[in-house]
Amino acid sequence: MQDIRVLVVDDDPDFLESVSERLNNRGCVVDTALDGAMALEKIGQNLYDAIVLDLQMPKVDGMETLKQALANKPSLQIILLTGHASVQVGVEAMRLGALDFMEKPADLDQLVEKIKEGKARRIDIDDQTREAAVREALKKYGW
Amino acid sequence: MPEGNAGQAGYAELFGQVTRNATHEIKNELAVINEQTHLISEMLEIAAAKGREADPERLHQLIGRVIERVGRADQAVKRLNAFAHSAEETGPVCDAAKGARLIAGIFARQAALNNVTLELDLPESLSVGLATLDYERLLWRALAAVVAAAARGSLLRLVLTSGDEGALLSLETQLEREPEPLPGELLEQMGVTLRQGGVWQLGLPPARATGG
Repeated sequence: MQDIRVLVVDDDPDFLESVSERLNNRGCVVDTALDGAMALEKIGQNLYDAIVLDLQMPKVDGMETLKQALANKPSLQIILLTGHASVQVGVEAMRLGALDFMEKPADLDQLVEKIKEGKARRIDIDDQTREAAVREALKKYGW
Repeated sequence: MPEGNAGQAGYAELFGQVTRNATHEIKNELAVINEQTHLISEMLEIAAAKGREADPERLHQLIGRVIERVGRADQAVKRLNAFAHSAEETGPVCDAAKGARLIAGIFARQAALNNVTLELDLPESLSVGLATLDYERLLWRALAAVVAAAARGSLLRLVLTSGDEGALLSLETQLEREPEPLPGELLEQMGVTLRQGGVWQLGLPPARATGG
């Protein structure tokens, strides 16, 4: 499980530090970002199995970060974490392509299960994309 | 206080905004406290499993943070409670400095989400001729309008001064655009004047002596 790479995004440094350490205790390799802008920059430069994203943040909020991140990397698996979950926001997040929507405080073991599910889905989507690209190339060269 | 449907809707809106912000702030503090106490517990478990003692310095640091966050949550609860009690103040006069401290304290989280920091320059106490809930409603709307139009990363100074004709409440910040104006009807009803342009200045009516 050591190779599960997670990006945790939250504007509260204390929350970020504690969650990161607890995820690390469960075998995840954790990277952090304090806001949506920083998260988008890191997403552009690195490969993550899952992103754990706070909804309410300054600069770029969670929903906007979700939209921009998925527009650039559709195979990203994003779990939204929020203080006050509502059906409306949850539905909107799932409609935009989030893997799941969890309320703080989240059960870390459940979150890790979701992260593992995200990794499996990301690998599956990447495999399908690669396979489609190979088929396209073969078709192009008449094979 | 206006008793009509519009007045009641205005108070309901204020109660909704205040409770939403305050409970979100409390929930955030609880989430951090939850994470930190679980982390402390896990550190002790891991150390025990290895037959060692957990790093006392790190434990001390984490416990210190828990204490700090409990204090912050307590302040947020106190502000919410003070706001709930302000509904009991039904007279025509209120303390504008006390109300500004309370509303700005609750609004701070909303401002932070817009990357705006609040700074207060208030006297200890200053009476004005407004009902407490009307003043709080006016101040919330003014803060929301100015913060929404303020430049990201800016400082918003809330300055309250007394004058011959009541008090002057200034909202000084670096604006990115002109803030949404406050409804003229609301200002007229309260006897409040608004001077816009660069800095918003609300002229609050003086507290009149009552009885005889």
